[in-house]
Amino acid sequence: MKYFDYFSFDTLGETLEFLKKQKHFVKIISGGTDLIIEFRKNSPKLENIDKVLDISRLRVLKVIEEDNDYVYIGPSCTHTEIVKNDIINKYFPALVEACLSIGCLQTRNQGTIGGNIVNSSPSADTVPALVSYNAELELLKDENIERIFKVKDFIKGPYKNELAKDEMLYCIRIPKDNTEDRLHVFEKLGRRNALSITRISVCANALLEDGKIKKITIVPGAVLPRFKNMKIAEDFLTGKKPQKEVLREASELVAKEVFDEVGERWSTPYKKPVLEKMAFVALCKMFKIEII
Amino acid sequence: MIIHIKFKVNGVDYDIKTENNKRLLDVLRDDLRLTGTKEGCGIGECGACTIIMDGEAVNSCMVLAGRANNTEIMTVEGLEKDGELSTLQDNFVKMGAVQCGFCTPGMLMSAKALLMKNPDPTVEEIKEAIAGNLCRCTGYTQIVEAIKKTGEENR
Repeated sequence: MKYFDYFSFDTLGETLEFLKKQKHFVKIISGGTDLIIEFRKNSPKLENIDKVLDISRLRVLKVIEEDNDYVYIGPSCTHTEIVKNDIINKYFPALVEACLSIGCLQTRNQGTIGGNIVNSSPSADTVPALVSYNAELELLKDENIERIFKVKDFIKGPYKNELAKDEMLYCIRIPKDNTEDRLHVFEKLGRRNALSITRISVCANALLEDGKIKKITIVPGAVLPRFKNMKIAEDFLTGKKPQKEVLREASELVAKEVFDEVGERWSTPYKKPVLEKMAFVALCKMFKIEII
Repeated sequence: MIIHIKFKVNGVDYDIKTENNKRLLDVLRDDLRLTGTKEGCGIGECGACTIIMDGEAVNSCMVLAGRANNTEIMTVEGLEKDGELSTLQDNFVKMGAVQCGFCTPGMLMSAKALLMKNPDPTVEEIKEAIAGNLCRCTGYTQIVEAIKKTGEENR
């Protein structure tokens, strides 16, 4: 196990004060399901880290609440806590599905949503759901200074994000507009059921008006270095009736947009048709259309 | 750096000093000599090191020692009472749910965590609860049956 010093404070103020004083990056830990393994591997990602700051004790980071505009999720909420939360189930069922698809019960009991975001793995399961719901992050420098990022802008690439060394993720907030009328879906493909790292996922939500798609969001997971909306397919679908052939065409556009960006690789002939089918299955499920 | 941890393990209060980069698994096995908890993969995939922390099943290979401060922990050693196996353990023996035995402590703790919340679970609920525990001997059938039987006896 890599050597590091361990710090943990009882209040947010002390935690931020400690961060402010540091010359080098400190690794903030909450659930630790990704980090502890990296420490044990002596991962090059943690080469310059010699201090660990445990924030799992801060109750203020474990709250889920709502007002008229947003639902606020504390970053130290475990996946299990999110799955069981009534507010999240009511407004953001695809996020619940994404959390449920993570690892096994032990990992969901320990791992946190904040960790999933800040670890910034391209296969992070909650991130496509958060991006599809247009979630934002509140980063805190001290108790009065905050920066706000959209989740999709916060993650800059595989394991890279905007978090500065004297900042911590304080809150994840998701806008509540139209949530009650929306349709939602999360589809994931892994190598086995429990514990699998996502190979490809598709998260989407949509709003219908007079049988036509008024607004739709499609975000794939694990296939791009950054998480983003499938703009071409979204624009194509907007204003159309969600019929099977239309959805099939949209799925082809999703696969095309992804592989136009990442380019042809050895895995493309395998992955592209799978992504296309998964997008199709996800869209059909969302609009409750029988696939066969 | 040495840290100070106060916690309760199997109903006993502990107040220990240990190295801060240890995992809870190492603290349990090396500092407390509770070697019932096993290390399998060490990367949170096999569930052999499952323990119950504040009522939830977690892999102790993915918990830092410091995180255990002020928590209440139960390991496989906490299941028996006065030298008598618990009903759950007894049913594992009766149903042939133990072969090589390496997954058993983790399997028992996942089962126990489930039964604490859900005293009479369905087969599907049992499968979900032990999905993170690998067993390469039994094929799981006997394990599921042993947990189901324990649930039925809780009725």
